[in-house]
Amino acid sequence: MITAGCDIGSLTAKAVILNEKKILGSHVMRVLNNPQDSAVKVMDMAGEKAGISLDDIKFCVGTGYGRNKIPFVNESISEIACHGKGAQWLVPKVKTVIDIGGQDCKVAKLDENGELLNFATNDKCAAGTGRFLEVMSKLLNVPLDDFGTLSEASRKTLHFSSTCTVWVQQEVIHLVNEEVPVEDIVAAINSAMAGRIAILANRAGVEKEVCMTGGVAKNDGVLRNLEKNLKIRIRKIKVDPQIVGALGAAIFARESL
Amino acid sequence: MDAIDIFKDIATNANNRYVRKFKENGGKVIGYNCSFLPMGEIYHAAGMMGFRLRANEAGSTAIGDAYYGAVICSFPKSMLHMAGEGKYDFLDGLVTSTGCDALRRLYDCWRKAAEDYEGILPDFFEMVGIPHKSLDFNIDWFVEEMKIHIEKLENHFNVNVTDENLKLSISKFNRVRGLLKKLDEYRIKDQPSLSGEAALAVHTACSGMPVDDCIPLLEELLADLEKNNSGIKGKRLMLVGSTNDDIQFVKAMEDEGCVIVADTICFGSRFFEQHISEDGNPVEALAKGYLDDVKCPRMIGQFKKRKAYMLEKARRAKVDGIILQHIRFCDLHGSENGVLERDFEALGIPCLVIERDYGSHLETGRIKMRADAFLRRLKTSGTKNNRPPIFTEETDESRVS
Amino acid sequence: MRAEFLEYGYDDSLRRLFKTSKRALGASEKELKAIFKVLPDWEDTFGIVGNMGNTGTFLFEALGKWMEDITLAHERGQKLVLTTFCYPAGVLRAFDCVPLNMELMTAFGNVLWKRGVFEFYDYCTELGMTETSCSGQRGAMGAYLAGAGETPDFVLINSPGFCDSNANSFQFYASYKDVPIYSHDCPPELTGKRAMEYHHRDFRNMLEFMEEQTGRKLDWDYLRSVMAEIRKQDALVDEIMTLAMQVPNPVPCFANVALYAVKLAFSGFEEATPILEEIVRVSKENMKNGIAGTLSGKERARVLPCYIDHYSQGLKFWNFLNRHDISHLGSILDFFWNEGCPYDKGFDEETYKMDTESEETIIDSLAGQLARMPMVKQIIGPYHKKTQWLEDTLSAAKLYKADAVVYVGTFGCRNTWSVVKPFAADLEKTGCPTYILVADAFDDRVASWETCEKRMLEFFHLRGIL
Repeated sequence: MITAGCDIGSLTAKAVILNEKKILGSHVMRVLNNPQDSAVKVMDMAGEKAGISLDDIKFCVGTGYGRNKIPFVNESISEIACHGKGAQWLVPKVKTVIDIGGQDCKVAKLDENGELLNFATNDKCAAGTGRFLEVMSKLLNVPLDDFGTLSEASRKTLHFSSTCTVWVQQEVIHLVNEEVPVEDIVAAINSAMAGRIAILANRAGVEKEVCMTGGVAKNDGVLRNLEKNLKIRIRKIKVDPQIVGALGAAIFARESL
Repeated sequence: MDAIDIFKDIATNANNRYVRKFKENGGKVIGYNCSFLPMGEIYHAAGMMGFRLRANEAGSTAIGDAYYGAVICSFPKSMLHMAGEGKYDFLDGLVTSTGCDALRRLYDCWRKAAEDYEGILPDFFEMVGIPHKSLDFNIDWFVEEMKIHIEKLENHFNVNVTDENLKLSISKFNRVRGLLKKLDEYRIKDQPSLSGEAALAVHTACSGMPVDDCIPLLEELLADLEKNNSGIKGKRLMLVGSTNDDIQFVKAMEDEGCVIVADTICFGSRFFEQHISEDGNPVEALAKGYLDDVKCPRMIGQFKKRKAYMLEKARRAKVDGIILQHIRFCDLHGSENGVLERDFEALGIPCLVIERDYGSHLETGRIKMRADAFLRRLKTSGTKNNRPPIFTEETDESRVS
Repeated sequence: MRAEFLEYGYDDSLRRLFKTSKRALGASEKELKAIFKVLPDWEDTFGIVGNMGNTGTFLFEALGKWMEDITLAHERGQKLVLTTFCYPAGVLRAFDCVPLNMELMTAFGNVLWKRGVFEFYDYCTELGMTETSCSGQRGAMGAYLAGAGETPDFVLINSPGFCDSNANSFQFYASYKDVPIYSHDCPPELTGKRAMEYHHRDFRNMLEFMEEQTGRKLDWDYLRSVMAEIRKQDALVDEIMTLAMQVPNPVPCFANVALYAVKLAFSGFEEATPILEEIVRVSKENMKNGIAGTLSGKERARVLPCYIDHYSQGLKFWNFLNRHDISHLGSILDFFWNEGCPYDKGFDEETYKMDTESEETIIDSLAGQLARMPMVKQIIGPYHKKTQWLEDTLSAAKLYKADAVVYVGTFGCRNTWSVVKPFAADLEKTGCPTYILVADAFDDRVASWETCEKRMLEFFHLRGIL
C-alpha cells in the first residue's frame, strides 16, 4: 500500500512516497510561482525516483503553507503535526522536535505516538528562520550549504542580536568592510540563530530525545551551538531533514487508511 | 441585505452609509481612539456622533511609518495611513487619548502629518488623559477631564450638553449594551449560531454608527438569529490580547475549523460588559463606568482581576482553548500573554500564543498554520472532546482567582 | 546563564566588583598593568573614571555600599523594593527600605562585564516577556526572575503615564512572582492645581501601601533630613550644570553619569554627596586652567544627548567622546528641575521645591519631585507643548551651546520612538543638527557600538561638527 506526503513550504516544496516499510522516493525543490505547480512537479519527481505511477498512491496528505492549494491531496494537516509525526517515525523515542523552516521556527512536544502535546512558534520577525540565513548567505556571497563547515574555522567569537534580520544585516556589512574573516561572521550568524531558537525551545520546555528537522538542521554550526545553549544532545536523523514534514504527512496518510 | 451583512459593511467602511446619512442631515462626527473614552454618550448628548477610530481600511502602514518610528505597533500606524489617504476626512473633530504610548502619540504624528497631507486635521483636535488606575482620586480627575472636554466641545460647536441629554444618551447606549449581551448568548450556546467573525463585525460596526440606527439594526439581527437553527461546529476558542478590528484575522482562524465563542479584546466584546449607572450625576457615572474597568493591561496592578475575568468568561463560553495574541511591539499584551499562558496551561487550559502584525495579508499563512496546529493539539492531546477540566468541574474559586 | 551569577548572585557579584574597583583606582601603574592583563576590558573604564580626581573612588565606594545594602537587606530586617531609575528613592529610605533600581543594575552589568547581561535579556523572553520590551529593565530583571540575587519584597514604580514599557516590565515581574505592586500614575500635564492634587493624593496612597508592606510608620524626621540633603545635592548639581555652560566645558566627560547615578540612586544620602563635591572641584580646576573636561583637555564639539546615553561594555560611548574631544553636555537624565536650577525657563511651576514645613508640604515637595524626574517631566504630554520634550531640548541646546543633538534610546521606548522622527525634524528646522541613533542603549547585540560610532562620526563629519 503506497501513500504520499506533499509539503509545500514558503521556500521549498517536498514530497515523500512511502510503503508499509520504507521511503520509496522523495524530492526537494525550490517552490515555483504557485503552489499547484510546485505540488504537481515535486510529486512527479518523487514518483519518478520511487519508480511508481502516481495512480498507485492510495492516500495523500498535504502540508505546509500551500497545503490547501494542492489539487490532488485527500486531506491536509498542519506542518507542525507532520514534522512531529515524521520525526517520531525516524526516532521513536523523540519527545521534542525543533523544526526550522523558511519563514517559521517551531518547537513541538510529542506524545509516544508522535502526536502534538504542545508547541511554540517564533515571533513575527524573520530572524531565527531559514529566511534569515538565506539573506545572510546572499550578503556574504557564501553558499548556504557551506555555513556549517565554514564556521568550524572561526577563531574569534562575535555577538549579534538575532532580534531583527535588517539590523543584523547592517552589522554584517560593517564587519565585511572591516575585513573581519568571513568564518567569524558566519559563526556569529549561526550562534545568533541558535540563540534565538534556544529561547523558543526553553520556552516550550525541552525533553529528551530531541530532533531537529527542516532545512536549517543541515547546518552543523547552528546545531552545535544549539546543543551548547540547551545543554542537550540533538539526535541526528538519517534522512534529509527537509523531507520530515512530507514524511510525516505520508505517515498520516497511511494511518488514515 | 441581511442585518449581519449590513454590520459587516459598516465594520469595514469608516465612511459608511449611516455616517454619510448622519452628516447629510447636518450631524457632526467626532473620532476618538480608545475604548476608555465615554465619547459615544457625550457626543450623542450634544446631538453629534462619536466614531471610534479604526484601522482596517489601511492596507499599508506607509504613511504611518513616515512619522512613527520603526519599532512601533502597526495599529496606530495603519490609522494614520487611513487618515493620510483621506479616509477620515469626514471627521469634524478628533480626540486622542493616553490609552497606550503608541496611541497617545497619534496626537503628535497626526498633527505633523497634517503639515504634509492637507485637510486631514479637523479644527477640533484634542487630547484627553485617561488614568491608569481607578481609585477615587483617579475617577475624580477623570470626571474633571470629561467636564473640561465637554466645555471645549460646547464652546467649539456651540452646543449644549445637559445632564438630561446625557442621561438619555446613557440609557440608549445601555440599550445597545443590553442587545449585545443578548447577542452574546447566540455566540456561547452549545451550537453557536454567530461566528467570532460576525460578532467582531457587529461590535466594530456599533462603534462607528449612530446609536439610533444601531438599536433597530441589532434588534433585526437578533430576530434573524432567533429564526436561525443552524449551529457552527468546531473547537470553541476564546480570543485574548491586542486590539483587533480586522474581521479577516478572525476569519482566517475560524476557517481552520474553530469558532471564536468569546473574546476579551478591544473592539470586541469588552464594550457591552461595562455598566453605566443611569442614576446620579451622568458625567460621574460615565467616568466611573468607563475607568473602573480592568480589561486592558494599561490598567496597572490589576493582573489578578483581569485573569479572573478571563477565566470566568472562558468558563461561561465553555471554551476548549485560548488564543493569546499580540501585535508586535504591543508589550502590554505581549508580556501579559506570557504570564497568562503559564497560568492557564497550569490549569489545564491549552493556549496558543501568537505574535502578529496588524492588518498584513502576508500574515494569513502564519496565522492559519498556527491555528491549524493548535486545533490538532486540541484534537489529539489529553482533553480529547472534553473541555479543560477547570470548566467542567464545579468551579473552584481559589483556582480561578 | 553564567553559573557564577546563579551561585553568588548578580548583586553580590557587583558588590565585589565595585569594592575591587575602588581599591584598583589606588593601584600603581605597574599593578594596573597586571590587572588589565587579566581584565583587558576594564582599561577604558578605568581611564575614563580616573580622569575625575577622586570622583571614581567615591563613586565605587557608594556603589559598593549600595550593593551591600541590597544583599544584606533581609539580614538586617529591611525590605528590598524593586523600582525604576526615575522613582525618587528618598522616601524609601525613610521606611528603612533599600531600593533596587532595575535600569541602573542593568547598566552596571552591561558596562562592567563582557557579554553584558545578554543572557538575562534572553531569559526574560523565555519566561514570556516580549523581546521588544525595554532592555533597561529586562537585563537585571532577568537576574531577579532567575533568582540570581536577593529577592525583592514588592514593586514600587511611577511609570504609567509616561512609559508603558517600563510599567509593563514591572507589572510582569509582579504578576510572574506574585508580589504586591504599587504604581503612581502621571497625568498628561505637569503644572496646575489638578496635576498637583493628583500627585498629592497618589503619594498619600503610596504611603499607606508602604506602611502595609513594611509594617512601619513613615519616619518624618528622617525624611526631613533626607530632603535637606536633597537640597544640598541639588545645589551641587546646579553648580555642575552651570559650569557645563562654559566654553570649553570644564566638567569631566563622564561626570554626567556620576551625577545622575547620585541623583537617581542616592538622592538625599550623605554618603554620595562627596561625589558631587569632587566633580565641582575638578571642574573648577579645569576651568581655572582653561581646559575642557575631556581626557585631552581639548574641546572640538559640544554634544547634547536629548534622551539617554549608550551603556555598552567599557563605557565605549564616553571613550568615543573623549577620543574625539567632544564635550558631553548632559542627557535628559541630568536635568532635574529643582527650584533655582540653571536651566529653568522662568516660570515657577516648572520646578519643584523642597519644603519641609508640614507633612502636607513635604508630600507636595516629594510628589512635585516625582513628577519632574528625568524622563517623566518631558514625555508625559504632546512633545511640542510647554514644559515638554521639544521646548526643554531646544532651550538646553541654546543654553549649553550644543553643536548637535543626539537621540539614543532603547528599542522598548514606545513613547519616544513614536515621535522621534517629527521631533528631530522640528529641531533641525531651528538649525540644530539632530541625529537619531538606530540602536539600543543597553543591548549591544542589536547594533554594536562600533557600528553606532561609525554612523555617528559620519553624521558629525557630514554636518561639519568635527
